[in-house]
Amino acid sequence: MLMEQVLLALTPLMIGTALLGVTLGIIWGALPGLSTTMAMALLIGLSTGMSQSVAIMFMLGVYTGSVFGGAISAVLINIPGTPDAVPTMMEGYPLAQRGEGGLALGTAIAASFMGNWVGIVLLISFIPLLLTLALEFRSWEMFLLAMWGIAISGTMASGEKPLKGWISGWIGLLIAFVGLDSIHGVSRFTFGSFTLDDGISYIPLLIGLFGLAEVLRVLPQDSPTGIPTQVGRVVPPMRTLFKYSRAAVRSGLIGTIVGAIPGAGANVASFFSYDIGRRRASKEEQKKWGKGSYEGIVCAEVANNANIGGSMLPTLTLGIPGNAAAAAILAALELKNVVVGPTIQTENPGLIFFIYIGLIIANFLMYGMAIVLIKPCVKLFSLPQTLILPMIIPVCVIGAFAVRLSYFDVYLMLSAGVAGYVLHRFGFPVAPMVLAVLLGPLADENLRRALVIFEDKEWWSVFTSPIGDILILVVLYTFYDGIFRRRG
Amino acid sequence: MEEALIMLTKTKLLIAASVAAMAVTPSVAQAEWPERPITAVVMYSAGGGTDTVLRALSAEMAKQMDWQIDVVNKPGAVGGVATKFVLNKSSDGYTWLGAANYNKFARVKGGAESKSWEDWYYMQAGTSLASWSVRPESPFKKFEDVIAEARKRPGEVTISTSGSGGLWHELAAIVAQAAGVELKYVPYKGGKPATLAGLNGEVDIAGGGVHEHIEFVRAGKLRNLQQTGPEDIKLEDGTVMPSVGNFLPQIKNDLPFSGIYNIGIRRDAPIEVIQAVQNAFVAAVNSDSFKEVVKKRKLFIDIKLGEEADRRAAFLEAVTANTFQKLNVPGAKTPEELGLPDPAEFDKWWPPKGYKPLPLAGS
Amino acid sequence: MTQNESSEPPEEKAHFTGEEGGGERTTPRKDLGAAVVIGILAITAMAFSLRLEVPTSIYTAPGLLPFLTGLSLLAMAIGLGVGAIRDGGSKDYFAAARAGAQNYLSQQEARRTLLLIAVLVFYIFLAGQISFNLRLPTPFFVFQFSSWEAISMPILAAILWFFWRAPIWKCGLFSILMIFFLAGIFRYAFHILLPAVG
Repeated sequence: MLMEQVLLALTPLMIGTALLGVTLGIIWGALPGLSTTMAMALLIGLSTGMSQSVAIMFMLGVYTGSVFGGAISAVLINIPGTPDAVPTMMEGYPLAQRGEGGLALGTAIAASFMGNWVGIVLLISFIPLLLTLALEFRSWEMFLLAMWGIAISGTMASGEKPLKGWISGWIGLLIAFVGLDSIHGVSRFTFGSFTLDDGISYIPLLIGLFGLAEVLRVLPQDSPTGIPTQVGRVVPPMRTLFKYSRAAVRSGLIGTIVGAIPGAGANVASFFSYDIGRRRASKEEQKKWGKGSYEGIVCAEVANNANIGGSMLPTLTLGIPGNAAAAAILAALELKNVVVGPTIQTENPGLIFFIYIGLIIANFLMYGMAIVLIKPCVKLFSLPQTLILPMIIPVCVIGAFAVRLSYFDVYLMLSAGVAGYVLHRFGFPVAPMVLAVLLGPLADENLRRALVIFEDKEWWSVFTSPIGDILILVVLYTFYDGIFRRRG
Repeated sequence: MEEALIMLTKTKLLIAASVAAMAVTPSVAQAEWPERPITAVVMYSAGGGTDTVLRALSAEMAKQMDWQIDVVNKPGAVGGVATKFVLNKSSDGYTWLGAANYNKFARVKGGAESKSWEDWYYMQAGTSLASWSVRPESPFKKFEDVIAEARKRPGEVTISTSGSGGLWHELAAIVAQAAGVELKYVPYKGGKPATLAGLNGEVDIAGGGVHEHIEFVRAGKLRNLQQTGPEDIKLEDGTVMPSVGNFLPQIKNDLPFSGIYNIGIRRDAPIEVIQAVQNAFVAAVNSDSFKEVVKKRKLFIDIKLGEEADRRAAFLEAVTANTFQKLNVPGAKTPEELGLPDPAEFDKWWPPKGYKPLPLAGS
Repeated sequence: MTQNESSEPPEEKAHFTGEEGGGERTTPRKDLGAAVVIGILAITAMAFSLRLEVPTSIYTAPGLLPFLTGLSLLAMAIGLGVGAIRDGGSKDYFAAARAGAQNYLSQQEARRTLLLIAVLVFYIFLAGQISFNLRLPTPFFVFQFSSWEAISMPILAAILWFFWRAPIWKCGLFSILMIFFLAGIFRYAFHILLPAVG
């Protein structure tokens, strides 16, 4: 059965499909304003016209490609193509300005390749173990996990006081509260608007805060600081990866586990891995952090790619998607009348193997295509910034609109862009705000739900979950560390 | 004719670009309706249960009629967003609403003003049943165990729902009310997380649809306590998903309590267009491939058209408005505000003043 | 002296490294101003969260978390403000702020930014108000042209012309190609509606 699937996946049609998916995915991810989540959501409708195997192969290709693609614009023009490339941007762009953009991207390629492998290997070999672990994350643990991410926002304020990072994050939290509360259905901060009832989607916010804000900041400059045309070698430096192998393995584990927890996606994985990476790095390396650290890129890119394998785990074993992209693959399968659930092995024997092999093929192709595409991408982004940046404006508009087909989101994107520009003038980092907008709803919803459940129990039952207890300590430590131990 | 070529949507600034020169086709458009792609706007997100069924249905309609139907998702405000979106379009029949439950939540809770039986025409394709399931190690072996425990600790036995004021919340509440007990409804973001909460033991009972639980029941990861169909469901291996009618005979005649899949079209669309859509709809629902989709998920085909469908829309909205009033769902309008009767009085109330059935053939 | 503090010489920005915050120099005065605005935001959020209904117990009230967030944000704003005052941010605050604002507006770059924002607001507002979609059947496919494209093309061309300073025909060509490319992906590949059409 395994062989059968291998042979099916290795036909020229399948390889060609995967290649097309990977290529389009990389380009899509590299375009500021177009994210992995959106690509996958749009592909659901498109997949109805394909055969089942082609649809899966194509979607896995786009998934793998776009997760990496976000790194390209992040490094070259300081705009993350996808949310999970924010840490890559923080390290990669300074490198690009020093003329090491090629090496930074090469590192990102190598790290992504490695990350995919970690995710796939862990997915295949540790299904029961990871699943048990992922199922331990109930509302209370999910709240604490989200809280940890929010606490990290203070330490993401590279160069500034943690206080400013937290303020930025807390403003993000207030934004995240807008909309119908998920427990009682009460409208919060909506001022009677039904449009606001559905909350503020993080995608237009992200496009505005990073994409449009960067356009507003750089375009009007007298001589916009582009990347030097000399970007250096683009060959993925496997040696760098070996140097940071410990960070790579750690980040791979974090990425896979976060992926396996339903509700937490690649963005959370790369932020976590990046922050933990900084704490675990050597003193010497820590000084480079925020100013161009290759280890930082490794941490972020390994984690967000390992997340792919992780996210497929609950998807394939329970039919419960690990994140939005996995949900799209599930939806495409549903439309092919494949019901994915705990009985998938008996109902659709071989499908799981096909997906494993699809992931592996997509990974190899991603590696190859990334190397092929980097040079043209560098050339493209080395065009005058005064040409590139205006071109990004309509992409931002359409990207904000397409997620929910809502023009309100376009206005939101515009406001976020102006706000991002103002915040920058006042020295507030915007990455924490994005993190908080992503995690705020998760924290709020899960805390309130946990409280509903704990309501009738004794107060100490809050501490009966071992994972919860560990997370409480981690959150407290993160705050303590941010308040009392300033880092440069 | 210009109407068909130019889509004028908002009235604030109308740019009436004249393309009359292009209009070479005869003006009797109905003969070859549709002349351009149709857009079906599904009111829930891509990949969900409603979306899957409606996409399968519209794909079948497109195939049989050789139409082009583009499906887009506009979730939000329990259907209110999609409803307003379609209402802002021209009522030429080119924009459909992919709806669930006759869009009954949109007016009760989603801020929509239009009435399902006066401003819309909803065709019913099929139904899904509600289910309560527990983990195999749960102390609840049977439905009665839950009732006994809930009597002992009112409002403390927890059940997951796919969202506050959503369908599974409503159906679980109707069953609990019939049994005379009070449960604690714990809302999740969608049916899958709600099922997961039952699997990992966060709640005592997983609430949701039969189609969401059945795979887990087959795999032995969940045990079904009741489902809201009129008859027991027997699985291949002999496992029985019992009908709630076995335990609560007083509601046996009202079963099934179900989720419903609809396609809605503006009532003021040309009647020939509505007729064409209805013909395509009936043919697609009765096709083998759609039946296969439905069977696989333990959903049921149940076509309702014409006045029967309009009546059902009004009845379900009346039930919902009354249930939500009892549940104190925040932001829900009361039956009085909506001008709806108590469900017991419904037969006397129907047809309401101003209601006109559509003159359709084959309903 | 005060002028120097509240403005950034252009060459400072050229050395921008890393993410936000690292590059832009802030001053105690800016921090103080920000602290006041954030404080007001926090108090507003707290006031609104207190007005939310409490369906069951206080622990699960919808306003609980927004209130706590507002409260801790207020504490942080006070912390930022106190720190800024300690660093001398309150000295001649209003005079310095006015000077700072004037200084900002006197920079050509800042004026260009404001112009760009104005153009974007106009563009997005216009594209949201006007809505049409032409369908021109050709022998091969139905060519579509919507209000979004009609509005985006001249505006993108104008922005290009202003900042890129290329000949007008080149700006026009690039903008037409870009908009057709984008609209093409979404309309013909994904079959979704373009902005403004709805």
